[in-house]
Amino acid sequence: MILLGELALWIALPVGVWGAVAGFVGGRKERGDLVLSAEYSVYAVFFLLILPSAGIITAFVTDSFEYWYVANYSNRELPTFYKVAGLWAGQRGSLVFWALLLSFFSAAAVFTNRTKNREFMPYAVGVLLTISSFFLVVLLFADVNPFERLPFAPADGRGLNPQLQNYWMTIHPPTLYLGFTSFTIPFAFAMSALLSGKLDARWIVITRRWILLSWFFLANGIIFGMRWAYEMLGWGGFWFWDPVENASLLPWLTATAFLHSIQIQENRGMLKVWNMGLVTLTFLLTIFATFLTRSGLIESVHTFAENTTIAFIFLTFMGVMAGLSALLIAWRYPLLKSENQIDSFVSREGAFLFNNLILLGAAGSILWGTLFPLISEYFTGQAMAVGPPFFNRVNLPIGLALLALMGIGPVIGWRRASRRNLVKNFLMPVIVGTLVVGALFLRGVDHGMALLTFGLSAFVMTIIIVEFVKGTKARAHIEGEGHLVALYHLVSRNRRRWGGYIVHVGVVMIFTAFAGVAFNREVVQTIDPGETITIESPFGHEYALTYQGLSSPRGENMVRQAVALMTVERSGRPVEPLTAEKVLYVKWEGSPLTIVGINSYLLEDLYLILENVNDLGGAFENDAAAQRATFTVQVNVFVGWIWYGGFVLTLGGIIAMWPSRGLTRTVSRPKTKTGGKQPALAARG
Amino acid sequence: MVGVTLVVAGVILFVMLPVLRGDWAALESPDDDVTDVDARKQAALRGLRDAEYDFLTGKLDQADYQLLKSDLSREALEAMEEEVSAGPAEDEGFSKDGVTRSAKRSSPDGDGLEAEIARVRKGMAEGRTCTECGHLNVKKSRFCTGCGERLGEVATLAGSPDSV
Repeated sequence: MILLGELALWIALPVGVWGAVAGFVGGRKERGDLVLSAEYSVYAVFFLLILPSAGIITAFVTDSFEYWYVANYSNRELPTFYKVAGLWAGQRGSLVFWALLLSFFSAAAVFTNRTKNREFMPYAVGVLLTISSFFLVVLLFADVNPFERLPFAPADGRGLNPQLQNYWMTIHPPTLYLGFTSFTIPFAFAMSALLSGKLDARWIVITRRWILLSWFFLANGIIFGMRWAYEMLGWGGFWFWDPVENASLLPWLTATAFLHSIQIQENRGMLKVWNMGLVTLTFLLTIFATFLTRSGLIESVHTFAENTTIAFIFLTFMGVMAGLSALLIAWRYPLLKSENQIDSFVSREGAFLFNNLILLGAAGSILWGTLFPLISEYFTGQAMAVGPPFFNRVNLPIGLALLALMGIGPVIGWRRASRRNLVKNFLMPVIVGTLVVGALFLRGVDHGMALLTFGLSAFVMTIIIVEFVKGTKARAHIEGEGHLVALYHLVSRNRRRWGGYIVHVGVVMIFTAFAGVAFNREVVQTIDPGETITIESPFGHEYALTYQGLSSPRGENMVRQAVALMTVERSGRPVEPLTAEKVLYVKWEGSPLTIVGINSYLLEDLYLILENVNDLGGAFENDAAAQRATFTVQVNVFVGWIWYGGFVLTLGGIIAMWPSRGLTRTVSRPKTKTGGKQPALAARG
Repeated sequence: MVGVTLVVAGVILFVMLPVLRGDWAALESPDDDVTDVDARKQAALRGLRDAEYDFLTGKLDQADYQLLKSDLSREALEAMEEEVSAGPAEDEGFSKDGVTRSAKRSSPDGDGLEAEIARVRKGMAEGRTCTECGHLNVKKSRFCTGCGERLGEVATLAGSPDSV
């Protein structure tokens, strides 16, 4: 199996290259046989990439340490669960995984379009296989072959980085990769539209669901990563503006902009060049995300760089793709001219345009901050990193502006809005937002930015609720339906719109959670067993955590484990006890890993970190005298709303993506064979 | 080694089969879910639906709504006329309510959009849809209640579905 997987990589490359060439030539020369061969190549590459993926997993599960990749990312005691996830634990495997997902989505796109949108397929397949071939070239020629053998087989491997030994490891990276790779499909169709000159609204209609799907996976991948960081890293937070975190956020921001701006093209025939630019930029940013992780050019907790050769290969690829896309857009510029002009900036398209500019502004500032160490090193010879204060300062006003636009956009009609209507529609939400700010201020909340966030959140939520209520009433009135039935039909008849509103609710919840950070409380204390740490919540509860002592059980794959137990009282009533841990894993004898304890409530989390044990060695030996420890106890306000908001966002995304009845129809069109060539092509046959 | 040889042979055969046998993939799909005309029609009809919703929920006032509806109706009608003049597809025809089967098939938003198509087309057939503002008037209207335009010529201009 392993050998077959290794050889399959070598077979996949010529098949991918052949398919790419056949796609482009078939499209140019209108050769249906070449196009069909190209499409079969997509299926073949997918099949061939299953083999190395299965080969890598087999190598991990069977402890085949003669392979460099397995020897460096696994060990005998590593649970099977993590051995399977070893496929994406390191650079080499994750490149195979990326190529596998890309080939899977490519095969899905070819299969779902086997009887429709045929005009776009030759070039789309050409682009998809070119990108797949690029990844295969990297795998085979950039010194990152996952099947590279060591001169001898070590008795055991180095083990998996302890930070990756968490169940989120099996969820977060694959979800992000699904988002990154699936965005290649809209990009391929966009390039196909440019190459074929079919630049009407079709390519957007065809790829709309792909864009949503990619956005959906990226959003969930980012939220899963936040949860992982919150549980695992023990830094007491969920987002650190780490370069690779930023790299995952960048394509999400531009994809969000794109999701809004395509509506302007669909409804008004405007922003065609802009949309082409955005789809290209988003695709390039997905490649940038993997480039940053692999290049080693910027320090990050996520990086698994092995050599910088790969950085230059990726940079060259991104440069070529950006240049070709720009040339294609310039070539087709006459076909991309707007059919209309914006009538008034006080309109939905105006709001979407501002939304786009703000999202791109956010992406630009984050990109600048992320690359600043490289830029500063280039000009001054010294790498200077900008930290969270820079990102927070720049992105806070941007985020608030976006929040405001989330409320404003849906209430303004297309083309223009009269002052009377604006007043009518905004009066109640503005009053509610102001009342919320006033009420919170009177209750002693005096943090300006947090107040503004809560006020804007209330404003947006009011608008969304009013939208649902008015829409349901209007439908109930027109159709004579009951209100629940009317609500169901309202959403199901225009899922994209109402699903989008539900996504906005999720985003508002997440913004509210971000604002909650301003009210977090923290106590750091060194104590002995029997002593108590107290901390007051901003909501008036008092938590009392009584230290019961350290114990040292030994779990699977762990050398040492020191678990501190705290009994907890919330305003005098006993609640779930908390544990916090220091863990040393087999093969990773460096700094012990911190695992936090969390008690979650609707409005806040009680968060316990075992910062330090005075005599950790003694604690690991269950020494009764080595129990003194330093704890950080935090009350994290609204943090749970990030996860609740994530659920709501997921629900909205699913509603928006759910196929309408009209689109589930498939045309049964028999494949044209030699005897049944299309009339236009028969003469060539 | 035998397995590898089999995989290589199988893949080459699979990929090259269309070229060897002369099997051709379709390079056009006239009965696509989405054609250019379809896409424009859908966009216009979706715009109509949204405009109506925005008007009913108070986001658009009467004047803006009529103006918007007029533009969108014209776009939708032009797309539908273009679709009809392009000739019916092999299984295309008109149902009793005047909605093309292809329109029914390609509707992306289900019944709502179909109803819009039916409404516009039926109004067109009966001379009730104003070509100036797109307003759908009650039967036997002589003047548009939306903009005051005379409606008599509409049926002649647009034609009736049955006559196409």
